[in-house]
Amino acid sequence: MSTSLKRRRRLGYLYAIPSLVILVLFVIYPVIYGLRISLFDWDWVAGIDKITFVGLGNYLAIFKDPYFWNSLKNTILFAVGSLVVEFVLGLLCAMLLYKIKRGGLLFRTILIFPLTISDMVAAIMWRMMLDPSSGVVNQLLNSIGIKSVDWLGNGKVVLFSIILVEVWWMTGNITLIMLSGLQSMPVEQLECGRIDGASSWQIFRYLQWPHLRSFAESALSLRMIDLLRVFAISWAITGGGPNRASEVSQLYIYTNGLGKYLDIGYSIAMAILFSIFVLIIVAVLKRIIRIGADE
Amino acid sequence: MNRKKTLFVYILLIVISLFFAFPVIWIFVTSFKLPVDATNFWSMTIPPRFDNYIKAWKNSGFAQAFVNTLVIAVVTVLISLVAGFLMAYAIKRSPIGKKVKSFFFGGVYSMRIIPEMVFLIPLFILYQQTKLYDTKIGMIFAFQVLTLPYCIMLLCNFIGDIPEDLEWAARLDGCREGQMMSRVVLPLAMPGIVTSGILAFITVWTSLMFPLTLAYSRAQTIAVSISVFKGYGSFNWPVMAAAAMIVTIPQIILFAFCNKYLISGYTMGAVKE
Repeated sequence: MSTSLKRRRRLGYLYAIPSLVILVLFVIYPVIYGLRISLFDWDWVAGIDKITFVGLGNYLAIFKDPYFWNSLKNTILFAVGSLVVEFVLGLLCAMLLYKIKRGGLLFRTILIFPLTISDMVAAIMWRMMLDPSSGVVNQLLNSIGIKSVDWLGNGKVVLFSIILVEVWWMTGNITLIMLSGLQSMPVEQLECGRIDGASSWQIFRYLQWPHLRSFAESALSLRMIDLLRVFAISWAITGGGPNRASEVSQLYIYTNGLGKYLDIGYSIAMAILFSIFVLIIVAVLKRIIRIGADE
Repeated sequence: MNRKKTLFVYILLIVISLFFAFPVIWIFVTSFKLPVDATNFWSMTIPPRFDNYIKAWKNSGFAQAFVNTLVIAVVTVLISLVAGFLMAYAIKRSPIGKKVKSFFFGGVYSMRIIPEMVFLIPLFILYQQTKLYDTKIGMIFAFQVLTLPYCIMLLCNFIGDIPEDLEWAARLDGCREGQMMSRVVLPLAMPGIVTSGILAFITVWTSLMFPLTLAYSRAQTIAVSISVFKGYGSFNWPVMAAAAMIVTIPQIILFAFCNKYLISGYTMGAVKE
């Protein structure tokens, strides 16, 4: 028995080797290398050979960089805004799909189809549709007597516009998760509630919601992780404009590090600081949901 | 549910469906228009212009990028599935100690949280130094950062669902440890492997940041290639729309034929962690 256990253990390590090699070479090593580079001033525009040790200098410089904080603010506004709308809309869609008896497959297919489109295509599509003069959205608004809106050129509207695109693109994800939550609940329980004369709201609040909560919890945290890392939608629709009003963190880091300037050391430092923020935000979100659950 | 309520539910569903379906219908219709008609929603082009698709395909580098992406995506997925399956099996089934396991799992999970730029900028430098920049092989291994942890997580869920008793039964029947994986677990995990493969393929196909930072021309993929169209003015919307449609073809095919797998994949990551 013990020799067989030993052999199984040895096999286990053997099976882990391919993944470990790939992950060490292409994930762990680059991250450690990045951590080291973030302590250096290495600006390829000033000269690729000029590399000087500055310690935590890059990190300190971030605190004086208003554009970084602007991009962080945009990222958080975008993520929280999208998350709230997506969750409410997604839960509503799931409830509706759960209620109907006919045409469920058709409606589900329509509601989740945007998921299969890439963010780049979604961005290109909506950029045309939101065009101020020839875009279809303004044309439709005009036809019902509403004045054109400068969706992408107005700094006050632009964040709302990219939230709209994100909501269109990814709400289906929450719909699917919540629908599978609803379907996994035994029907008998709902019947009991109905027989006892509970209203639809009471059935939702006291029977379905407690069951759905764990689904909501993972849907919210999974979406939040992806939302905070937003890049393509900002890059491809507005390029961060106008006047950095829609510039998100990953876009600012990319522009600084590779896109326009080649300030490598500084941008890696920003990337690392940003990931710490992401970890904190996700942890806080999870805590908030837990507290909500304990009431 | 009474009739009034049912009617209300359907009306609400139709309104919401319009919001989700309209952009797709719009881009499909636009891809057959003349540029003059594209900027006006109300005017149609008759007969439809199919040559927009040919123009899009012939746009510089587009066809090449399409083929590149196919090759890169298929090889990336194969590597991720083989390595990911072995790893998931080790995590779920071999007695290599709880601590080692939770270390693996924690690592894989946190890798999904960390923003891409943390890997990409260092990889950019390392790729410049090792001549992996702008090569297919470089892209294939870089994409493992995205697809491998994802495949490991999904496959862990699937393997976890297979009753371990089956393996003990096979052991009693004299199945050797080395064969346990290929003879017992692999056949049962097939749906999971298909699901992870499809989702990993879509991840590579749609990824923008990796090719944008690590490739330039020879290994350029479709997501970046279509962004070249981005610079077009409104005079070329139909060609742009046609390009967007071409890029979405693989997803439409997968969606039509592997709907079940796709949906189980989209929900699985959330339902159990």
